[in-house]
Amino acid sequence: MVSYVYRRALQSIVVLLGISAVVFVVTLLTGDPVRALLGEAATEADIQAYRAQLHLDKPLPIQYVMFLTRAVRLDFGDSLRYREPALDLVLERLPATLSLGGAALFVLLLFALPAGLLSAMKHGTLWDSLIQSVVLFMQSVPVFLSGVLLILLLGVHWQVLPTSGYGTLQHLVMPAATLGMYSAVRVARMLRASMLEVLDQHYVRTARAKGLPERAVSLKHALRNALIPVITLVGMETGMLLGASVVTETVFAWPGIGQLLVNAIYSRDFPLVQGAVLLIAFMFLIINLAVDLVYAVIDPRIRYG
Amino acid sequence: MRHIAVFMFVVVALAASFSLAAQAEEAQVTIALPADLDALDPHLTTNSMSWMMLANMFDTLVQLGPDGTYEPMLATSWSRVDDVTWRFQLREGVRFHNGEPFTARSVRYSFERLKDPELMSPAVATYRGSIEEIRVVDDYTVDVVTEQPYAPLLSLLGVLWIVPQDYIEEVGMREFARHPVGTGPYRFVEWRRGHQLVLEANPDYWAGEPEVKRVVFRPIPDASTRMAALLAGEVDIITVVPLDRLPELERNPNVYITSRPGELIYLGVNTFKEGLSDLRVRQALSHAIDVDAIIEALLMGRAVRANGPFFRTTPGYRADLPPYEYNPDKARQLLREAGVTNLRIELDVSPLQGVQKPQEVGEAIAGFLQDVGVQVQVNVLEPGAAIDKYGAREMDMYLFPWGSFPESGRHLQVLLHSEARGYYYKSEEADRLIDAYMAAVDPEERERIGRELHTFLYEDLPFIYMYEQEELYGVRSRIQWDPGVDFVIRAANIKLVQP
Repeated sequence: MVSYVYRRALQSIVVLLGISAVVFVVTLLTGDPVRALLGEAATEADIQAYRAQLHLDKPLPIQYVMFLTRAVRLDFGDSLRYREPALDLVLERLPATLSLGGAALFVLLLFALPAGLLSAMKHGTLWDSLIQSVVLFMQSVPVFLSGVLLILLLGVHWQVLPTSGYGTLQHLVMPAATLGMYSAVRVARMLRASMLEVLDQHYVRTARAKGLPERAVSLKHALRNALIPVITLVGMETGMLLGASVVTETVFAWPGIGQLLVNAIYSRDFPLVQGAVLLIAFMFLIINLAVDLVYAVIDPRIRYG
Repeated sequence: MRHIAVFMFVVVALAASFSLAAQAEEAQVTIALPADLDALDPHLTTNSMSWMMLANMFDTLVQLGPDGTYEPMLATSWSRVDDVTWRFQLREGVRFHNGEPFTARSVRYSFERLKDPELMSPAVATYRGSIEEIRVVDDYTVDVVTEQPYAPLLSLLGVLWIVPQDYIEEVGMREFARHPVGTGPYRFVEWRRGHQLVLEANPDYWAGEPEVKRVVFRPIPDASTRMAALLAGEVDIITVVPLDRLPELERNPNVYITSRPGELIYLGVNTFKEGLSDLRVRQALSHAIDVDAIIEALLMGRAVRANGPFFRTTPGYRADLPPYEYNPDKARQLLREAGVTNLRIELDVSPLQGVQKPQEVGEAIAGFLQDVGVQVQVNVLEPGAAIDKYGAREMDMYLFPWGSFPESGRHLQVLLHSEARGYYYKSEEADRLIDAYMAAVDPEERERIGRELHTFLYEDLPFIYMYEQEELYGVRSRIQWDPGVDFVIRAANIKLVQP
C-alpha cells in the first residue's frame, strides 16, 4: 500500500510537469497581457518597452526554460495584475474554494445517496418516477439560473439568507446548495443505474433466496458493489466542485479559485493562470489517489501491492 | 426521503434563524462594483475601477469639480509661469495617515516613483510626452515642467496620487502595497481580495471628517446578484445597473437611480481597408444606422447621441453640429456613387468594461447595414481577444468605448494621432490639429482649435459616431449621494438621510 502511494506520488510529479508545459504554451499563445495592463493611454512604443521588461520579447523556448527553472522552486513569478507572488494569490483563495467544495460535496451526498438508493430499491414505483422527475428537472436547470432564482427567493423576497458574498456559514448555504445539487443529480442517476444492474445479479438472487430481508440484500450485498463506479464519479465531481465552480462563484460573488482563474485568463495574467491551473491539477491528483484507495476499502478484491 | 426533507428544512431554518449578522450599521456604507481592485498601491494600476476606490485613500493636487473644471485639492492655487512650467501652491498642515507631513517633496517623489524602473508601473505610459519633472521650489511650492506645452496637464495631475516618501522608503514597496497610506478622507483597514475592501473615516482629514465612518467595497461580478444585494439592503450603492431591470429599480421606493455622463461609444473603422477607405462609404454607413432607435430600444433612452469623437465636456465640443441623420436611401446612393457594391465587413464587439449591451448593439448595427446592402458579420470576442485583435490591426469595424478624462481631450490624441495608435486611421490634417490642440495651454485658444478639430473629424469620419452612455448607479434611499461628473466614487460626499 505504502509503496503504491509512493509510486503514485512520483507519477503525479510527471503529470504536473506535463500540465505545466501545456499551460505555459497555451497561456502564452492566447495573447499578450501588456496592452490591457497599460490602459487606454498606452502607445505602441510603451507596449513594446513593457513587453521587453517582462521578457515577453524573448523566443518561446527561452521563456519556457526561464519559467521551468522558477517553477520547480514553486515560483511562478508575480501576478502581472496584482503584483504579488502568483502562488500566494492562489493559496489565499484556497479556504474559500475548499469550504464551498466541501459543503457542496456534503449537499451532493446528502441528496444523491438516498435519492439514488431509493429510486433503485423502489424501481418502477411512483417513488422512482417522482425522484427521476426531480433529478431530470434539476439537471436541466443551469447553475446561473438556479442560483439567481435562489437569490431572488431566499435573499431578496424572504431575506433569510445573504444574497451573496463570503464570511459566515449563512453565506455558504446558497452557493453550496446550488453547486452541490447540480452535481448530485448525475451521481444519483449513476447510483440508481449501478444498483439496478447489481440487483439483477446471481448472488443477489441467492441472497434473496436464502431469505434475507430486502433491506439487507440491497444495503449489505448490493450497495457495496454498486458503489465502485459511483465513487469514481463522485471523485470526478469533487474535482469539478473544487476547480470548475466558476459560474457559481461568479453568481454568488464567492472569492474562490475559479473566479480568480477566469479573471486571470481574461487579463492574460499568465503567472496567475499557471499557478491556479497547477493547483487545481494538484487537487485533482489528490482526489484521484483518494478514490483509488477508497476502492480497496470497499471492494476487498482490489489490492494494491 | 421524508427524513431528508425534514433535515434539509431544518438546515435552512437554522441558517435563517441566526439573525442576519451583517445588518449594516448606520454609519457604514457598502458599495458593490463589478470587479475588485488590482492593487492597493495606486501607482501599480491604471484601471479606473481600482482608482475609483483608491481615490478615497489618496488625494491628488487637483480634482474635477461638478462643472467639469479642475478645483483645488492638495494644491490650493496654480498659475502658468511659461508655456512649459506651471507653479502650484500646496496646502499646508496636511498629514498622511501615519502622521508623515505632506510637502513639496511628497509631490516630487510621487511623480519620480512612477518612473522608477524597479516599480514597473503601468502608469508610465500615461505620463509619456507630458510631465518632464517636478521641481521643489520650497516646502509648499512646486513647479511642474512639461516636455512640451501640454494643455491637459491638470487632468493628468488629477490621477497623480500623492504617496508618502519616508514611509515607502522605510517599509519598502511590497509592504506599502499591503498597508497603503495616503492623505485621503479614508484610511485603509483591510483588503481581502475578491471579498471586500474596508476603509474607515480619517478624523484628521484636511477637509473635515467624512460623515460616513466606514466604507466597504465589495466586488459582485454578476449584475443580477448586484441588484439583488441592493434590493435586499445589503449594499447601498451599485454601479453598472443592468439596463433591462431599470424599471424594477425605479418602482422600488427604497432605492433610486442616479447617473453621470459615461463612456463614449464609437464604431471604429479601418480606413485602410478597401472600400472603407472611401469617405463616401463611411458617410453611407453613418447615414445607414439609426442610432436614435438603438438608444431608445436597447439603451432605454439612457444615452445621448454623439456628433463626433468629442464628449460634451471635451474642450472645443461643437453642440451645433447635427449628428448624421438616419437616411437609408441616401446611404444606398452614396454607396452607388462610390461604386461599392458587394461590401463585406466584420464587426467586432466585446463586453469591454463600460460598454452596455455590446452584442445587441452590434447585431442592431449589422441589421441596419444589411438594409443598405452591406454584408456584416458580427463577432463577439472576449475582452482580451478583442484588445489583441485591435492591436494587431486586423479589424474592419469595432464597437469600442472610451471613458477616461473626457475633459482632457487626450483620447483624441491616443486614438486618432497617427503616431499614437495609428492602427486604422492616418490623416496629416488631423495630426496637425491634434498636436496644436494638445499644446494649446491657453484655454481660449484650445477651445478654438478644438472646434476646428471637431469639425474636421466630424467630416472625415475616422469613426462612425454612436452615443455617450449614461453611467447608472442604484442607491438606497437611506443615503444621499450624487456621482458628480468624475468616475471616482467619493464616499466622503455621501450623506446619511435621517429616517
